[in-house]
Amino acid sequence: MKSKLKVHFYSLAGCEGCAAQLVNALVKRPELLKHIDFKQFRLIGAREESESCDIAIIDGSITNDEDEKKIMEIRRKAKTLIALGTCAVLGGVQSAVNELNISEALSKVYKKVPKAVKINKVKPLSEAVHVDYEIPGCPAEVEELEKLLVELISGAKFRLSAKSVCFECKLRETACLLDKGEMCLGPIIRSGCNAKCPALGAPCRGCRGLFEDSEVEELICTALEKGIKEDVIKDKLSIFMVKVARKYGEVFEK
Amino acid sequence: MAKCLRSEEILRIEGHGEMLVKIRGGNVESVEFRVLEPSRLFEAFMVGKSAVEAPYISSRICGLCGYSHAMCAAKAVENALNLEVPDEVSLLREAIMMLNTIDSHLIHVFALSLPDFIKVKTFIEAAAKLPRQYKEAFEIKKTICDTLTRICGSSVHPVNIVPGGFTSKIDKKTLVEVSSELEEEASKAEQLIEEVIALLISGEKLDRKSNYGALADDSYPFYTGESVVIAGEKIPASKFKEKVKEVEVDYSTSKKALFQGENYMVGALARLNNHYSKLSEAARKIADQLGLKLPSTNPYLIPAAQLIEAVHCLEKASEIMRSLPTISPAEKLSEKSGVGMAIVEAPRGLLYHEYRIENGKIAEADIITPTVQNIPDIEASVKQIAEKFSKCDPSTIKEKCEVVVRCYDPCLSCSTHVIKLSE
Repeated sequence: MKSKLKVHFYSLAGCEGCAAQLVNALVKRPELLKHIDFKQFRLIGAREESESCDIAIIDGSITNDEDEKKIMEIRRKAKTLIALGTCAVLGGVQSAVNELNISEALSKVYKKVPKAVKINKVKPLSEAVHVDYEIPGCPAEVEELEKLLVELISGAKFRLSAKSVCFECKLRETACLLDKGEMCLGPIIRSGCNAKCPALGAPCRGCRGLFEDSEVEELICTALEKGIKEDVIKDKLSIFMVKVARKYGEVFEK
Repeated sequence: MAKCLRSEEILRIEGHGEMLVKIRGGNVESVEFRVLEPSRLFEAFMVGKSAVEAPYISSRICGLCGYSHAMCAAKAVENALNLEVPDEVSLLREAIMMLNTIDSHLIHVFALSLPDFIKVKTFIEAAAKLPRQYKEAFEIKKTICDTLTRICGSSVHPVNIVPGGFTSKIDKKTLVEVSSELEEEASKAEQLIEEVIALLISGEKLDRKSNYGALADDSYPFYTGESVVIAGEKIPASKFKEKVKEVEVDYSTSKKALFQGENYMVGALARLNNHYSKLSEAARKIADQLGLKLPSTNPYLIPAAQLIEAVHCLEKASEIMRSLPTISPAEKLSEKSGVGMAIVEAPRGLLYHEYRIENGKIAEADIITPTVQNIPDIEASVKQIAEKFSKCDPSTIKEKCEVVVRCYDPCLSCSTHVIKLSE
């Protein structure tokens, strides 16, 4: 029998909902544990000394120099590195901090900033190291995690969907929210979530990020034509994609 | 010379944390529970965003109790904007909170805490030692997660909770189906839970009286209720911050909260101590049969209290869902202004959200999480345990202290995202 894959799991700044989803995937498919050996994973209590690993999985984003060094160290030890969830792939909701003056933001949160607080800039992992696989989603989807684990075990390449959330809405026959005048980011966001938000009447807020053929400008123009207000469009873009919101700011000037 | 015991990063808890215990000549001089979870500054970056997204964004504070943040934010925004919410919406939220509580409790007990009580190191070893019990527990967990996903899109972060209600229509048919599934699960769960609680109450004992805080209502509430009870005193949500004060410490990215200068405990055991008489019949039967004396001053009983709550919640959530009519989608939120606060019971205890809203946008946010309230109580319990074992070798003391920390089920992602509204 093939030896088990040595896996290390680490959490940076995030909610650990993706770690919980990994646990959920294992609860659903316990047989996967026959092929995977978690050497490091705080949430389940694993902390074995090991110099290297086959796979490092990281959830959360980088928020300070210490974590950046930590991720470089992890990269050095891992044959394959996986960014799990929107925080690791895109920076997550907290990347909105990058639009603020950090010391002003800190003074809103703490009267006197404790020494233990070290935030300076929020970054996705790919800004610091080479990432082999990115699994977006807030949280990451259990089904996608299962698929990823199975493919890693079998040595196959894992690929994300290269279509938009709209594509999945059409498959599910979900009524278009944009047509109803609601700001939905479905047309520019990568599918793979089974378009679960629009199916429940909630707009796509973009947690999975842009895909290869996203046409952001076109979506903004369509939304404006449908009478959706500028600040509503910006509000939705700024939940997960402040950088995109900034980049396309000038579309509104036209 | 003082002996300084510093734990490594504590395993099997949510978030990054460690402990520093100073012992001199057999006396424990100080205990510091250091939260090292990176700051994410939610309350700063939420400012300027639409109030309608307060539940969706604040849910991202925590991956284990995201539902509590979403619900508390929705309730607080509704209070700020004087939005009337239909009773059936509040009741469905109550039932959903119960389901999230069960999910969180099952993760805590089976993955994080139970390994200590059966003397193994990891969740995987524990599952290998008690395969049937873990299999059954996971089946319950899976039903709960599937139900949450069916109603709210995801078992981690709900997608359809907004101020005013839900974005989607939720059919009576769905609710009745879900209710039946939960009922079936409840009948299976009772025996398993009774068996596992027996393992959880056979552990270490600690008698440390504290103050116990819980949401106050006629029922055993998780969502409904506009006031809390702490140490027997009833406090409306609007006065919560007059009684509960937060302090900052240099060694931690989290604050600590005190009730009129004193420690207090929130969470499953604190709720049980306050609402024991309102438990469901099956849950009370289990507590009685095991000879559990309530109120209890033993923090080692927190995981047992969580499982008693799980039985109660399965039964009650099923009952509530069966009684509800079809839920209509919420009206669009108007761009009004106001200040409002709300308190709910997160799985780990009282959670407070407050918002100032200007023309439909968040102008200020303030969140006080359960773990922030529990930290002083955790430190006090660790101190007592360290004193009891101060003559032992350092690794034993560390291990004993870590076990009691884990019983409290601290959530460090939550605890780090707290601010104080200007005073």
